[in-house]
Amino acid sequence: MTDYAYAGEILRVDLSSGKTWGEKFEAADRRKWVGGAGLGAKILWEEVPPEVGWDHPENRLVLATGPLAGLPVWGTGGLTVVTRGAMTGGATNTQANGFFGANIKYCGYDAIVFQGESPDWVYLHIRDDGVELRDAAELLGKDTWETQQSLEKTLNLSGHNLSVYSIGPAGENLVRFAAIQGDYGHVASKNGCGTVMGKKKVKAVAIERGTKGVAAAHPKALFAAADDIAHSLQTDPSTKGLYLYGTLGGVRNLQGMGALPIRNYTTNVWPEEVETQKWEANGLREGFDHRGHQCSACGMHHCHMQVISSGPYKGQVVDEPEYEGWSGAGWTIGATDPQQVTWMNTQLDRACVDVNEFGWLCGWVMECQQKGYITDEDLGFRLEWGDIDGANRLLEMICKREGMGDLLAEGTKLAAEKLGGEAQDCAIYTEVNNSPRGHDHRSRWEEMIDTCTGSGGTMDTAPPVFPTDYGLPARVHPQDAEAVPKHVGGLRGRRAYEDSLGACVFTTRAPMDVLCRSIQAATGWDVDKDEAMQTGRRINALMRAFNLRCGIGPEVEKPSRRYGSTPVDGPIAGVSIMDQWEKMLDIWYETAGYDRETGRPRPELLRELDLEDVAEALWGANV
Amino acid sequence: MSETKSVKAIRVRLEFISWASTFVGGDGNERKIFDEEVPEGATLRDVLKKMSSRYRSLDEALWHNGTGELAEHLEIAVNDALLGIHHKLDSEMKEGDLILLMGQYMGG
Repeated sequence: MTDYAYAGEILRVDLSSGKTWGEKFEAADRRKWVGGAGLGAKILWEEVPPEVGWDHPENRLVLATGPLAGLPVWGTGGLTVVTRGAMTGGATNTQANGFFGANIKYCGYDAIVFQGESPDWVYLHIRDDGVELRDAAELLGKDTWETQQSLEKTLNLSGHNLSVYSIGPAGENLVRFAAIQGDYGHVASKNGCGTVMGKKKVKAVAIERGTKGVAAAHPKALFAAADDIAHSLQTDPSTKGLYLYGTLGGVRNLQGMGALPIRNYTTNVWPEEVETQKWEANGLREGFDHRGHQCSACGMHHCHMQVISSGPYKGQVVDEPEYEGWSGAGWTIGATDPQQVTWMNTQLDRACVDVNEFGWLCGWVMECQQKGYITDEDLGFRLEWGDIDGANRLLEMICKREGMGDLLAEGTKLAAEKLGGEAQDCAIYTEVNNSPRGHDHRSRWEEMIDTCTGSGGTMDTAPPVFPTDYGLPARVHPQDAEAVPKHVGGLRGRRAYEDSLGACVFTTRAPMDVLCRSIQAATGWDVDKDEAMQTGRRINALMRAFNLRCGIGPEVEKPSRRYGSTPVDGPIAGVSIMDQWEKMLDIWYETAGYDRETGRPRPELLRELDLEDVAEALWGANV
Repeated sequence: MSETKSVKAIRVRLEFISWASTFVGGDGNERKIFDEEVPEGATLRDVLKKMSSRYRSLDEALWHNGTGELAEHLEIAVNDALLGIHHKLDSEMKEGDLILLMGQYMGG
């Protein structure tokens, strides 16, 4: 049988014994779980029992791609990381792009599964069938870019011939929100996936571009579908800006609707002195010498490298921040000079932490210093709003766990709980410890409820994409307490399916029937939009079941006091989400098909999703 | 003979910021401002319909497949408050109202 769209093997790496082997990715499992998030969820459920915490050697770290990776559909170099994460202690579903997905499949694997814990620091080297754990002593202490540069030199390879996904000093020192970064600027950031990699003493994965092909079932139809996806991205009113400028347009759009998080949610009004023009999408791009830094097979004008053109970091090459970088390394901490923010964003990528979590943490420290909750003596220096050098100093303290950095390395929630009182009231986090992304969600209620109920360390549904494909309204008012949870619950599944394809979620923002045509052509399956949604919901339900088994239930599905506070100014001044919170949860649970009291997916839903064993595990054999 | 009643006009301002300006002939890098005269009693929907009748790309982006309902591509604020807080599509406009249109949010 031809393994259309799949390499057909999963690479297993036992770090305790140093043994590696290939395992068949059974054809029967492929359609049910697809790859990426789905494959990872299955492995997590079957192989990580509740007593195996995030830092236990038997935790699994799954680096997976999916059926579209390595094929000529835009943005198909995708990496999905699934593990039991260090932030929530539950499931993780986080993505990075670049060339991982293509290069690993050309080596003959659909995924890498790390288990065990190495006695010494290692990196995994893959070259076609040659798989080897190598000594990483010389890489220790290096940031992620230095690590890639060092391995390029060692292996005498560069450009797209070598993918390196690594942790930085943060992961080495088990900073709880450490991330995994690859191919200069692509970060799987959520739920402390880099912390798990550090605990396993894996510094990096280096994949030489393999020589094996990936076959499509219907090549001509695949090209036609890929062209249609590209056309949709180039012409749809929502994605045209994304096609031309990536996520740069987010700053002005979100500022206009009161959803740009400014100075740790203390205001929603843009400071008068800010030069608006600099923060327009093309203003941000034209402010720098830049060049395209596209991911595998991608035609979007999205990822770029740029050169800082003025100020103390002039001449340095950095990766152009995503919107989240402009937010977490900028607005959240009161920094409004793009030249400085872009430098800080790359510092975060290189040290390798989640830019969102750093933003909430640094903004919180700044506000606490301003209000006297954290003194200069506590911190060791004065950190004012917008102080980029100070923010970088804070980052170094956190990565080395020096002084107060040791506490801050635990993330915003745990640090704020430790300080307690009025300091805790200023902190932005969720009780489940999913890091909110860099928006002011008090203006985007769908994202706040999604972040609080998400089972993968972040949002499960994420922003709506063609909701009318599934009979939902094209648009709902962002503060409509009835329509919002129906939208979030009703679209639940699409994102998890996309996260399983080995593709970038910015290039899968096409109508679902068009996206399904690409999957049909790649795999030969007659998949349609309903099957796609059903598969995504299966993945979401399994991650939730995993979390429930780990003791993470509905009691932690709420925002911190500041995260759920009422804005005092701007376009949503005086509008309170918490007045509506319980009602919204009621509707969300009903729409998702989950039990409101226990948080469990209902047994009839689990059976419908072909998860009989999960229904039995959660509800007992006789329900 | 029927009596003709004169209808008083009011003026409202529409501002298209950032990417939204591309739907009314801008380059996405500027603020496009239109001062529009509409009959007293006109609703927000009337004002937007009048505007979108002049710009095809705005018409395609603003309305969902001719249903008369808003599509997902643009966000609207009236007098600095998001649509839905103090105004709905069928709210009556007042002299001097400011209607702000911006691209839908994105992130990542």
